[in-house]
Amino acid sequence: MTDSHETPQYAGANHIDQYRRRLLGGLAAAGCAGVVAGSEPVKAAPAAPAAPAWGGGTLRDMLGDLFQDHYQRMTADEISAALARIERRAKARFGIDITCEDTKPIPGVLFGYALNISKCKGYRDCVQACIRENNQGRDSQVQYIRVLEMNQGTMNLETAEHYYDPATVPVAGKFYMPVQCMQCENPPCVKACPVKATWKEADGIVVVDYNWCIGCRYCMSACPYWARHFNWTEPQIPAAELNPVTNYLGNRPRPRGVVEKCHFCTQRTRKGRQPACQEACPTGARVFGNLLDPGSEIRYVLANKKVFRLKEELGTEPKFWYYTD
Amino acid sequence: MNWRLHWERWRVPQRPGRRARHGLRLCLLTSLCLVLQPAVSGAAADAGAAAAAGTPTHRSLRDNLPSVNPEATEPKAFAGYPEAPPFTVVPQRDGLTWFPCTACHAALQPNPQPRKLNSPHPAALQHGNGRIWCLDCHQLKDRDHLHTLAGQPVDFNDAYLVCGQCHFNRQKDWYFGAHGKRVGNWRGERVIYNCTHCHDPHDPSVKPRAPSKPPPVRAGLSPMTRHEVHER
Repeated sequence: MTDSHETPQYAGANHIDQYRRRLLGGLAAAGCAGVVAGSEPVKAAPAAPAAPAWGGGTLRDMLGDLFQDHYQRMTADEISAALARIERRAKARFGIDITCEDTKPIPGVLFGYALNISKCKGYRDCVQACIRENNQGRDSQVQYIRVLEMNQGTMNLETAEHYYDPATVPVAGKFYMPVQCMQCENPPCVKACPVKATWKEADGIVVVDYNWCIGCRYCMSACPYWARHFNWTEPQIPAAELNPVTNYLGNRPRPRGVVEKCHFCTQRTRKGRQPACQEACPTGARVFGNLLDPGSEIRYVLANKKVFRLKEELGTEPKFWYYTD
Repeated sequence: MNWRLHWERWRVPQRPGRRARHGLRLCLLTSLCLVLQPAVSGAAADAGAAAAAGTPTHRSLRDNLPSVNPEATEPKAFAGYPEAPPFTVVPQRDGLTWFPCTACHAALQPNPQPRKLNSPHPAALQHGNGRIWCLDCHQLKDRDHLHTLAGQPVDFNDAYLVCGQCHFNRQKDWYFGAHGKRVGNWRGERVIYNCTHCHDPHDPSVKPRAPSKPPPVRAGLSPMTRHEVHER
């Protein structure tokens, strides 16, 4: 929605609320034009000579965003129009051609993740890879993976430390347990959402429609794994580091004021690739795969290793297992 | 199943009536044994007679051994786990710094004597606590290959066959994907890293290193406070 014509005070502001505020001015202008010209006021939005009242992009894009329906109710045409709007907005904001796709779940696939806590050494390489892959704000607190440093022999999350920063890891007497979205089979966050902006997809991934999220953060308090994160500011990403391969229900650039979470890298995994955290892990502690395939690696881990799930007693049925050698 | 809840339920103190019923059951069982005892010992005597007559009553392991063990003469080389998902290993051999080894060793006399080696070879092998040395894995005659303990040549790209002779549990996990790392995709062709990709075979333990930077803390909050309070 922003472009190069913007005045400095609006630079980088593509937040929906601001569309709406600026839209009032835009609507008024367009309405006047429509009355005067008597035909197609929406399409007739002229190329703005200076900073226009609605702050940038075309009026059509702005209206399209405002009246965009819930993801699950959109037709194929509406979705492709929404994807095109996302790409245009990213081009205006970052000057980069991104591709935003709407990759559907693969039939017969239910994603699961297993993590070997005997092997995790707490390097946090997965965290950094996730930030880059998923276009998270560089200085925001939004990090999908939280590596907990815990005392060996305990499983007390109250004394876990995730700000650890020693010279070298692993520290003697500690073990490391990365926590991210468990993609629960019975997700409490989905139940908490008052507008159904988050739901579980057919492949088991719990996704968020960032355009539909109202930012109430009920889901964050419902999540027992601290896995959901709120964008207090618009994510600030250096244009050169923007990952241009994006997905509508995944890593597309997010506005301020919405909740986001780990989505098992839908933009990768739905095309058969490994998630970025698995690819980055230097110890091979992460095993990702299809739970419905009896020959898959994750099924071997579940059948043959000592596995546990975090806070299993809550009945959320996480599809994220921890295992030990 | 939630084991803690299950345990709590199990530990519920029993009502006195249940204990009394338990005693009654014990009594009944004892009297039944007393009544049936002559019949049971009679059956045992019959079995003894049958054994004396040469009818096999128990299967004896020693009697049922096959006369010739077909595999005794030729030890079979380990050929992987047939039920493991098929894979290829990320090739490594041609990226090795000094490969082919015969580039130097063709001109050198083979010396099987254990000794301290000079550069470029590691002076001390940090593997096996002094129990192994070069020629336990490397071939003396054909330097461009490794070998198994049984003497079969092994390509450098198949080093996992050598490692797995001692680390067989790890190797099995590796074959099935619970150890090691798959490259690129979660379905389709399975390409995995070799043991020696992550572990230096001459110094296999993974060394500690610095972590990436910790997550940012919101302004005004001290990250350690909560933790330190708990620790004290």
